[in-house]
Amino acid sequence: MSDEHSDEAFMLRYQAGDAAAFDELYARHRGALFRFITRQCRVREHAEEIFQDVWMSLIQAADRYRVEAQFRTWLYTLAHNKLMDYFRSNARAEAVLYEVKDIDGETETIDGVASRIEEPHVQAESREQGNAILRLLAALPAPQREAFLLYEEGGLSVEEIAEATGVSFEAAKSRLRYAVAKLRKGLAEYA
Amino acid sequence: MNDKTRRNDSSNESEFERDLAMTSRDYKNAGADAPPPAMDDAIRAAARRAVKSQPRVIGKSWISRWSAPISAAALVVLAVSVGFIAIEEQPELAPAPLKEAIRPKAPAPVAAPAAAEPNAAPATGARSSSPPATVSEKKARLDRQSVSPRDQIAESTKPELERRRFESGEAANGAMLAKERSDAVAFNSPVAIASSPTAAPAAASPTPAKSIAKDTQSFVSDPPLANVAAAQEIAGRSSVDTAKREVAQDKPVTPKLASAGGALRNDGNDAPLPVAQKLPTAPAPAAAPPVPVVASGAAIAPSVSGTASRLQQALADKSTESPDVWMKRILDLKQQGKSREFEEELAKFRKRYPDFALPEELKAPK
Repeated sequence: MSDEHSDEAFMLRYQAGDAAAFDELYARHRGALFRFITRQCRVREHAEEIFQDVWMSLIQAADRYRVEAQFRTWLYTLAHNKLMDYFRSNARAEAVLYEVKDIDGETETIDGVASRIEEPHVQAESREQGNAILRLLAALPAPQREAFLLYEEGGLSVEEIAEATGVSFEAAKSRLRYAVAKLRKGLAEYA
Repeated sequence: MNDKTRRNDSSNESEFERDLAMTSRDYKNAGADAPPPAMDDAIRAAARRAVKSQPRVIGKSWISRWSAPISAAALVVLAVSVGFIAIEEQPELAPAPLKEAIRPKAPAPVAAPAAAEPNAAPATGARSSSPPATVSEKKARLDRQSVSPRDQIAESTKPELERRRFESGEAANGAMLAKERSDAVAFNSPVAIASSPTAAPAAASPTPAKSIAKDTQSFVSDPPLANVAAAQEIAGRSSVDTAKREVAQDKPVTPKLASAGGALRNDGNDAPLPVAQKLPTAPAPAAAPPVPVVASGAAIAPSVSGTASRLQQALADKSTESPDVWMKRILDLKQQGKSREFEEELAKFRKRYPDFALPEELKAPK
């Protein structure tokens, strides 16, 4: 964190008025954040809007930034909050999954995911895109998908996932476990 | 059993790690989406705009940083100012040292000798903290400060006298002019009015104020100077009334008592005072509050004698009563069967109000 090339150092430089530092930060995180949002939101137009909102929030909140957590965790926390707002207003079914009593967000069995993947239209889309894992990922419940995407795209640890999504460490780990297990099973059946 | 569970957990953990690694590899091969370049440009431009507008933010933070201390300082200054104003307006609220610090000292009289009174006359608010002054001290103070009302009257009459003299052509009358000048000097001089031995210079005229008024009246019988004399008399009376009230409340005698006329002062002997004798017959000014007759005797401090006792007698005199009230009291005496007192009072009443129509019950032959 004290490294002058770390995200936190660049953020502090931007806070002090160095616009080039923001460019560097943006270049580092734009792709991963965009994919995280796009694959969570699943509607590209909405995803682009949310992506822009996240960066605008970061710019406006730059004065209040304190090096208390990793910049990456802060960035994905902003993204999580924006996505939750989106789910509440546009995709209530997805938002409900975050509000269920199961701490791991598990509302669907692995077999259920696999069976959905085997549905004719899903298989057709997967073949068309040539990418089964993305279809399997899209079929996951939103909290499990989010945990997986934060791990893969954000590069967050389980503890940081828990911090960014506002759940306990156990819940974050359980969500990640379920997500990986379902994806493995689906990919195995796909193959 | 525990070992088995632990073994299962570790195998599950390692299996999870293996599955996670394989899934990550598959996911990374899935391809990479990226935001459109136009969006990149828009976001970067917004970031630069925010950096340019930073000085405004700094200005805001300066205001927010200093607003609290400035507000606190302003509040303290306001509170202290209000406190001082309140204490000045109500000196009784202030502790004695603070009162002395706040209250401006009375200017020392020019004519007074330095040895007579080292401190200036006490202000009314300092009464509670200072011991009561003796009668001689009070008289000395009164003598020194008895000038102000008469000074004002003399100053106001001087130009009028000069003007009239010029108009009437009587300026040639040297004797008259000399008399007038001497009157003006006597009128204007505090020691001429207040013939206190401590404050009287040798050159001062001992003419009392009453004679000044008489002389002035005889010199000009026209309205302005007659008004001056009347104003002087009224001022003297009202000052006497105030002084009576102060003595009745055991207050230190204020300069107003002295300005009531030098005749009030007894100069060490107990000769009857002209003004004090004249007081009963003079009707009180309309604005003057009633004199507390009953309380006056008990309120006089034992240390106060001489002038104060005569004032007390004057206060005890029933002449301040209106004829109706006096008559009612006389009738009460008659009803109570106090015939001797009744007759005395009736005789006094008849002497004072010979034209007063007596009630029928008193007209009847006794």
